[in-house]
Amino acid sequence: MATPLEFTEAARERAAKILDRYPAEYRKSAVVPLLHLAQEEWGHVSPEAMACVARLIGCSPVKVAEIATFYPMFNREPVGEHVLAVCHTLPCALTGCGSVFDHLSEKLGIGLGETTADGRFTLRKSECLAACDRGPVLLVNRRLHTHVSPEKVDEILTELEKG
Amino acid sequence: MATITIDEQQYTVEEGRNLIDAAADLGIDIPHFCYHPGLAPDGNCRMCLTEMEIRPGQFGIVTSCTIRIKDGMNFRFNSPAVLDNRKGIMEFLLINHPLDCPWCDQAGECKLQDHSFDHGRGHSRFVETKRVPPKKDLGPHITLYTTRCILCQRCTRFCDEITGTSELGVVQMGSKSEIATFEGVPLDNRMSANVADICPVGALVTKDFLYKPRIWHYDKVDTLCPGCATGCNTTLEVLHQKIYRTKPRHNEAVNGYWMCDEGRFCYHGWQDADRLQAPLKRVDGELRQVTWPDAMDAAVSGIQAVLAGEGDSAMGVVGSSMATNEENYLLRRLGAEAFGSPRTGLDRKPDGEAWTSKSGFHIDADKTPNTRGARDMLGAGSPEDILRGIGDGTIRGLYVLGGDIGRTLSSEETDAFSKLEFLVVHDVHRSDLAELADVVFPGAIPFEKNGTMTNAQGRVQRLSPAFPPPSGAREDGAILRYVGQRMGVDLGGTDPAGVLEEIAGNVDGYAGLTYDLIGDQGAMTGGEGPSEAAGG
Amino acid sequence: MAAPLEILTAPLPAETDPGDIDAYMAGGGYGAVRKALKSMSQTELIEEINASGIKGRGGAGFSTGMKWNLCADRFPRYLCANADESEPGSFKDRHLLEAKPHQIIEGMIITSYALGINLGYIYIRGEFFQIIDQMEAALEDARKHGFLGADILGTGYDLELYVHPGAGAYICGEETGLIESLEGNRPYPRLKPPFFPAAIGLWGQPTIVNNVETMAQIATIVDMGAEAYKQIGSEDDTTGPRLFGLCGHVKKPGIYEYDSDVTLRELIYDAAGGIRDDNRLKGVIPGGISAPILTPEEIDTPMGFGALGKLGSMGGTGGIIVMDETTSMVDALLNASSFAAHESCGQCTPCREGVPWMNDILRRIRNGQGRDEDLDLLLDICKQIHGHTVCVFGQAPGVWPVRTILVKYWPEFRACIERKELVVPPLEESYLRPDQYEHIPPVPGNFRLKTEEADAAG
Ligand SMILES: Cc1cc2nc3c(=O)[nH]c(=O)nc-3n(C[C@H](O)[C@H](O)[C@H](O)COP(=O)(O)O)c2cc1C
Ligand code: SF4
Ligand code: SF4
Ligand code: SF4
Ligand code: FES
Ligand code: FES
Repeated sequence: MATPLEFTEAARERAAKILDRYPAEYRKSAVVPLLHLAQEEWGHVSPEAMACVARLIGCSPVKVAEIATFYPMFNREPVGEHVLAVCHTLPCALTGCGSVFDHLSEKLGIGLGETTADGRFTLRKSECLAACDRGPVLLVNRRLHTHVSPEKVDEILTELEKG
Repeated sequence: MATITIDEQQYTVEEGRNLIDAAADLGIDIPHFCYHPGLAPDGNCRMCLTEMEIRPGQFGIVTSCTIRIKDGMNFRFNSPAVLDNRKGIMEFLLINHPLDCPWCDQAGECKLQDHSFDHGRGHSRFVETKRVPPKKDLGPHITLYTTRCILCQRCTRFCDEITGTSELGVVQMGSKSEIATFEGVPLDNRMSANVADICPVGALVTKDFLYKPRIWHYDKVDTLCPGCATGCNTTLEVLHQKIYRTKPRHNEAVNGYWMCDEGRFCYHGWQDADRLQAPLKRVDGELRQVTWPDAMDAAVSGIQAVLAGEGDSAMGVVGSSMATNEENYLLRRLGAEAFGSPRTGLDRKPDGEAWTSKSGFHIDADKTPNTRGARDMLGAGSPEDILRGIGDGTIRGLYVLGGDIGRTLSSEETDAFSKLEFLVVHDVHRSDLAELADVVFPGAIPFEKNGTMTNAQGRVQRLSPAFPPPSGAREDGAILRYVGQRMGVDLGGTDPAGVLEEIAGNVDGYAGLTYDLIGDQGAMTGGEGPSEAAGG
Repeated sequence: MAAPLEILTAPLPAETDPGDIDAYMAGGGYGAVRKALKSMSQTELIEEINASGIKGRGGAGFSTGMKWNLCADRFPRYLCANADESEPGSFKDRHLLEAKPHQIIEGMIITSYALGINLGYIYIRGEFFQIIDQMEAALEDARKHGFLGADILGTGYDLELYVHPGAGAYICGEETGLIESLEGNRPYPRLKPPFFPAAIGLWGQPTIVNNVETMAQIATIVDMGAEAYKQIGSEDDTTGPRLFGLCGHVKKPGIYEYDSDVTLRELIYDAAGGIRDDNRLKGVIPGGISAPILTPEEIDTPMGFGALGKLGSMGGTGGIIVMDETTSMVDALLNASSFAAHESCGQCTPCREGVPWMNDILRRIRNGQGRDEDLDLLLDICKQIHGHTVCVFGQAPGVWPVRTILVKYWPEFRACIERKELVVPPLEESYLRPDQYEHIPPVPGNFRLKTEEADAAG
């Protein structure tokens, strides 16, 4: 394994706050929030990050890997600066998410799960994001865009290019 | 006790017992994969579903593995709903299974193979592409054939519940789920190889047993592990005078369903030892192979010479915690009746590292299996006592029941034994001790022994031979008898059961013990009855 | 024509931030907490909830009063508010979380107080980033205003509530999956029976898992009184206001609040303005993707849990997916099945193996490589999964969509197989009429073709 990772001082403080939400004898409850924190810190959850979380919780690292590999939100590999996830579940499919995805794929020149060569964008599909009345929807990093059309995709991309 | 109904027939079974186990007691097999009596039920495979009366007249599907027997329960084991489910589960488990039985080491003891024969569909309706995840090296002893895994999680539960080491987990999600270790943290604990025993399919295999002859060729021999004073119950798989595998044999009071890796694989050391092919006699300062009568003559005249010298008894005898109760007992008699109350010692190698698992499975620090029994038989003093006797010249001759391949001598011991006028040793190879002897009798290794041993808890258990000693060697009991005979002492018949009867009559704490009583689960000394102290 | 309600959807004063506790309090917010903690005993509160007749809004429609009564007599007890909303077609919880975070908190405080709970979590799905931030801020504000923490409102009652984020797995919405997730384990649902969370839940203690809308409704019940609450809807089916979310091919998708007596037709054609382009309706899934589909002939049903149950469907989450005549039911089912195949947790054999297998078969049919025997095989796999899994996921959404869409739109699937390509037959030829298939109670989604018709159709 590569060099062990450690949280920064600031992240350690946040980790302590997270752990405080659970009774002291159930530190493992914090594993998902701590993995979110790890992903914020390092962009993805590497085995070293899992080991770091396992040390904080005091459990066997494979028990953290069980969790980190289960949940789709945890990136196992490095991802682009912006992660774009097109909802492709039935209601969004009925309102045309297919063309949104195809448009994005063509504009970015990447397929499902891929990252652009410049490391700026990663393209994904997501299951229903519970905004089906406003479909098609696109999750860009932490922000949900609704009523997305190919034209709106262009606007979003331009904005991201600028930002 | 509880009365339950199974397919309209009434049975009396133990209240609170797991339904699968209770049915097995009655000779009824409820097919299952994920349930293992040594682990907490998990209910994930869904093979064991049966119907139970939930409300009067109304039956519902339940997981047998999570049912504890209560009086009045009413089951249907063979209803169409139950049989259909089994067929369905078999189909689901087989659609992604490689069906490589011809190459699989589990073939012949695979639950998937067995149940597919009994409950399967016969032809495949699956025309899609099978998943083929790669094989993984999990640790020093274990390989995972990932394609064969049915995700029953027995192995992960073992590492969580029994060893508490938690090296195994399930990674990924849904149909991509796989058993895995964490990078840099292999499946490496003192009991790791048990996972291969409990894996119901051929997914987890011990590297040791890869590509060995197919399992239906072996003779199975129930005996004990000689690896430590815990005395785990084992079954050896034997073919053509050779052990191919050791598996733990269930004994709730000793080892549960488990054994440690060291014990499991220790047969290699014994089997690979460079065994003595004939007795040895010191001639012109060198050990030479001689015939049995020649060695006997030498031993007897050597001992007689020592006894003829000064002092009460200048002979000492040293028993062996590698030897059975019967052998140690015969040694005591030989000493008492032929050597004139010699001083008695017990030879034992230095302690190893003890370990107790999360579930309470204990590996003893004493790396020999019968220290307690040998001591009971011999009433032995300490090894230092013997060394002191040699040092002050009160012991001039020694008769040692050796036979431990792991035994090396300290320089003190070497010095002391070198001072002896006469040294007779039973041994299995040219050990440090044998090198100092005047006569060496080639004896048997524990896997060749018939008799009983007493573990650290005081449980007397039976040892059965996997095969006889090599042609030039003899069982140690027979050697002792032969020596006795030559010295005018009759040590009795050759049957260990008979010796045990004598022991029961003469040794404190062993009263009433018989082969029958000991059976395949052992019996406690001191008439304490079966111990409740579970082994894990 | 049923009248829309404005109880849960009561608009906030213009320009107010939904997270703003002062604005919420100015509009009477936290009145229910005051009323409950200051003037009602725990027993009275439980009585009140019982009397209201409320059924949980998480999908199963289980009586909330009954759940509370089942809570084992052991302490500590815990509360988990379920905001994992991931059932495709459901978005009412998001709506409430965005618009009324404090009302949810109120419900959680009242519930905790009633059941003697001192620690609770709101499990919010991980993708709800902004909602999580807003909820954490709202909890902090509630704490600052003395509604959380030690000695709440001087009553001596202590309560801590925290957000626990998910990370994108649907199965965490299942109550025992949620508990396992909160414990930091793989969110494998637990075997039930024997133990339900109300007996053995979080960390082995009695735990109440309620949907967040249920939580908001609790505040409403305390506010308006059980007597008034149960006047809404019908007591023998479902009481209280319901949030229906319409999506898919309707002109005005969104959240609509009605009582349970509103019919599906009214929701589609009146509330949501009818079908896009004035197309004809082909099918409607009335309560989240798991709810068995209804054909155009079946939409004059009231939306109560019981009424939909009689049709072999279910009220579910109230998320209504409307599909017009241009929809390929093969594509729609493939989509639903892909969701299920992706979200199966993988714990138990029938679901882990059977659900993705069905997905493979459906994809083959969609791609023009269906075989004559595939439809029967699909129904057979459904049968092999149904009732044999650890949790309800295996059947809903694993089996029910397959079984019901397949049976009801049998001719369309047959056409696809026969013509070896994806076809969308004319509406009339794409589905069976209600007298050609039947629902076999008691479980929803247990549909089969009536044999002669099946022969005729197949
Ligand atoms: C597969 C599955 C997914 C579920 N997802 C959710 C969910 O996202 N939100 C929810 O509130 N309930 C969900 N439920 C229902 C919960 O198990 C539970 O019944 C509910 O949270 C109880 O709340 P209620 O009594 O207030 O309805 C789901 C159930 C199943 C079987
Ligand atoms: S490796 Fe064997 S024991 Fe472990 S989950 Fe797979 S089948 Fe079960
Ligand atoms: S614990 Fe001792 S007796 Fe048991 S297997 Fe290990 S070495 Fe052998
Ligand atoms: S039915 Fe599916 S989701 Fe539920 S426990 Fe089994 S595998 Fe997991
Ligand atoms: S289907 Fe896309 S948000 Fe629900
Ligand atoms: S043995 Fe009961 S479910 Fe596996």
